[in-house]
Amino acid sequence: MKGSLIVAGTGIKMVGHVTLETRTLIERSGKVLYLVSDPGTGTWIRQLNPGAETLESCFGDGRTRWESFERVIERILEEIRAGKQVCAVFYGHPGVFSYMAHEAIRRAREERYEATMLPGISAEDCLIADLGVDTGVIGYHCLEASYFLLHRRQPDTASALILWQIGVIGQFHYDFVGSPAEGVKILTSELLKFYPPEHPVVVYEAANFPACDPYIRATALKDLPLCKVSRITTLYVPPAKQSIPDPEVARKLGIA
Amino acid sequence: MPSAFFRLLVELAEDPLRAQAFQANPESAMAGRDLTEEEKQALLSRDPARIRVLLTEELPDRNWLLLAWFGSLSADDEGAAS
Repeated sequence: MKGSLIVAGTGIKMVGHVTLETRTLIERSGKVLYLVSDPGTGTWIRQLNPGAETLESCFGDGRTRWESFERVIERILEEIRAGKQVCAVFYGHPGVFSYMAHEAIRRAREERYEATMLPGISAEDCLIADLGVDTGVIGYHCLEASYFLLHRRQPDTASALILWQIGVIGQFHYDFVGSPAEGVKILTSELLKFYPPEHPVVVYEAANFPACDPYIRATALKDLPLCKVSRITTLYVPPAKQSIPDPEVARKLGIA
Repeated sequence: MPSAFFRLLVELAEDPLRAQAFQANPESAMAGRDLTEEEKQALLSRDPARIRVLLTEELPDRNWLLLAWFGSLSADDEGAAS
């Protein structure tokens, strides 16, 4: 039998965010390889498919992050080349912040194997639900915080802004042990070029476990450096101004 | 064999109505379960860090990555979450 690959995600909250199709996939795949954010989800996966194997061993042992990623990708491809129907499971949405998932699919296709991705629940989905914001109405853009700063991206202040990983700004190694405070200060200083000091922002972390609440802390932008952040903290910045429709465009569209 | 702690978490994860009942009355939801005092206190605290540590100690997927990268904030950080 020719090997194949389906990449899936377990969402953010332990077990509860797994979609029906992903659950079935885990149960029925010939080989399940997983990299999840909590041991509970790992155990649950192995209950569904006793042959499932964690990819955590690809990390550590002095490897750099990129060396670890490469090892994960090659481990997935080894099983595909061996003729297995492989399910690679990652936490969150497998296509968001997951070079490994995208690259495994790209290389599998390059070798003429069937390879697809199933959507999963991302931290962004949790944020929309927990903060009760309708991004379909106000619009939003989301960027990784380091990328936002490094590339000097300009926020559209009439839309919401979501910045990921504000607790690890400028940090690209897993063994980071320093303080995130300096990065948050730099970020705040940059945002103050676009938003007033009193502009409300929300420091956010989705709940990882069913018994827990999400972490939601509202503060003024100028006070952001006083907030405690972790490696998985997200910043939500609501719009600072209203978007005004253009009457000429409205007339052309017949909605004036 | 996964513990009562793990099984309760999975049940809460799979059933939003049960999770809602737990939020309203955690003592009742934990009654009759074979939970240690430490596990009960972790659940009552709703502190993800405490729950993660207990799961990591109990289950075989022990790896530096889990605790090092996914350590999260709790309501105790910077006062109550609002």
